[in-house]
Amino acid sequence: MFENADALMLARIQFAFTVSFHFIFPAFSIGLASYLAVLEGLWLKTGKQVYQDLFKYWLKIFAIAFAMGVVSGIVMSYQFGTNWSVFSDKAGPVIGPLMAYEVLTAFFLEAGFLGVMLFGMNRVGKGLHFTATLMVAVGTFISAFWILSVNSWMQTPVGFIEGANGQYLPEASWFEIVFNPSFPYRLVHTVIAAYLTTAFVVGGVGAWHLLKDSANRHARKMFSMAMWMAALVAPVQIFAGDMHGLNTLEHQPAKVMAMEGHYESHPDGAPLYLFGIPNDEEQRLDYAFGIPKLSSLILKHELDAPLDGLDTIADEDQPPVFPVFWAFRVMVGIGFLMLGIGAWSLLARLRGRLYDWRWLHRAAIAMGPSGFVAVIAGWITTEVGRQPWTIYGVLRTADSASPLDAPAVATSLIAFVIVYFAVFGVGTWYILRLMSQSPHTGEKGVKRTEKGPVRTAGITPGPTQNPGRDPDALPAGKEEATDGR
Amino acid sequence: MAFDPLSGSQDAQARPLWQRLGWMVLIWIASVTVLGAVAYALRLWLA
Repeated sequence: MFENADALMLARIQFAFTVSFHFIFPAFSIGLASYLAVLEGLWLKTGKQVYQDLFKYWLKIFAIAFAMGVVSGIVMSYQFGTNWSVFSDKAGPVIGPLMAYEVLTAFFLEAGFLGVMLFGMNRVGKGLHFTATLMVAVGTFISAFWILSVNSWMQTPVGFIEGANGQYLPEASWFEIVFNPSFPYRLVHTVIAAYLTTAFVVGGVGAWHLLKDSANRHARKMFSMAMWMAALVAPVQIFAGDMHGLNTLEHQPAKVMAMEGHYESHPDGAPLYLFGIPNDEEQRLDYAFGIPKLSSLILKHELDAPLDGLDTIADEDQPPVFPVFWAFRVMVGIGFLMLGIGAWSLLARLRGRLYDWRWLHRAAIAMGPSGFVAVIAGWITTEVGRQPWTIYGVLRTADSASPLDAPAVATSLIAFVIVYFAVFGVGTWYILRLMSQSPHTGEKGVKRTEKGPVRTAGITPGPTQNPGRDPDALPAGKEEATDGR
Repeated sequence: MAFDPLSGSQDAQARPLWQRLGWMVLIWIASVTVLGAVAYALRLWLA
């Protein structure tokens, strides 16, 4: 059935599918781990019930997202051996240790302390439990650090020599490899993207529950916190993205040419194309619509600065332009929409309408999944833009694959698609189900089996009789005094 | 039964530090072991 299929292309599709599926989960869990640490810290500092309830509410969701992220990530690393053994063999001496550090971090910080987070409070107490939460948050960051260092080295490889056996070997200093030229920019841009992704999910969930009950103080709190993140961090992300782009122009100019749709060189200032249909065969941008000289202004900070086009790059070294051009526009477009939501929320705060401006809430719900789309679009931009290389300028993708048998790769690809949609589909459905439940006072970890609330005599209050509403919810239109407005 | 990840903190605080640290190490080892088992199962599946 697949005898005539292109085995290399199938292997690339398989990796693209599994890595895209995988990254959805860490993009969420990196930000959520830090959000949980903030919530628990605020609970311990202020003693306010709302922070404890929100911590419990999001902890359940974090545990599922984290588990799916770890499992899908393990599959990825095995794939290096199954489909990309030449790459693994050649680059192993450089990327192997970095990947090993990531695995050690994921196992021993994130997964280990997640158990303490979930099951340890009644054994270790508040202080050690908070320490475990911090370890998970720090672990997610360190994990991202190593993975992004590896990826950045593949984009901007330095600090290695080619050994007699064809392997790339560390030269003088690991520092040069780890902190390769694109790494600081990619780390900042990706981690901020993860924080924004989480903020918009939290904001979307908060907005959803505010639309149902604008007096729900838990929904108010999470929506307010998320909108602060959007307002303060989205502009920082746009600045970080611009810096990352300038770094890419310096080290991977062909990628930026594809992002900009610049098939032709522009000696007197290049336009910023807002729309166009890339035509690789004819080497032109069809139906192009752009703003004259703006690309030169953005990339060179000068209206008339010359910019080279893909006509200066050999055909066999050019990336496919269509996916890079459009993925980049999707990512940037969402970034500016996030900025708009952040600005809108500031206006709503100023007018005292943060919790009852229904169109803002509807917009926040629509933007809830936008972070995932943006990060996937960003990764398509950077990974497809690196083509036709796995290690930029050093090892071609066509030379990186294992001796592949197309039917075998196609069969495993189909198996991955079925298993991923089944397993992670169920997990995602369960997360959405948890999100649809209203956060409330006396939040529990999982569904109760008892009929009705448990109430002990004396001073300990039982859970609310009406889990959909807070007993101490504020009237509609009233602000909570502790919102930091 | 309900599972509350933040319940029982008062009881735990009453225990000596060495006991709480011991529990932390035990739960940590159990968590790492579970993940190791999952990773090994996936390895067998892919192999």
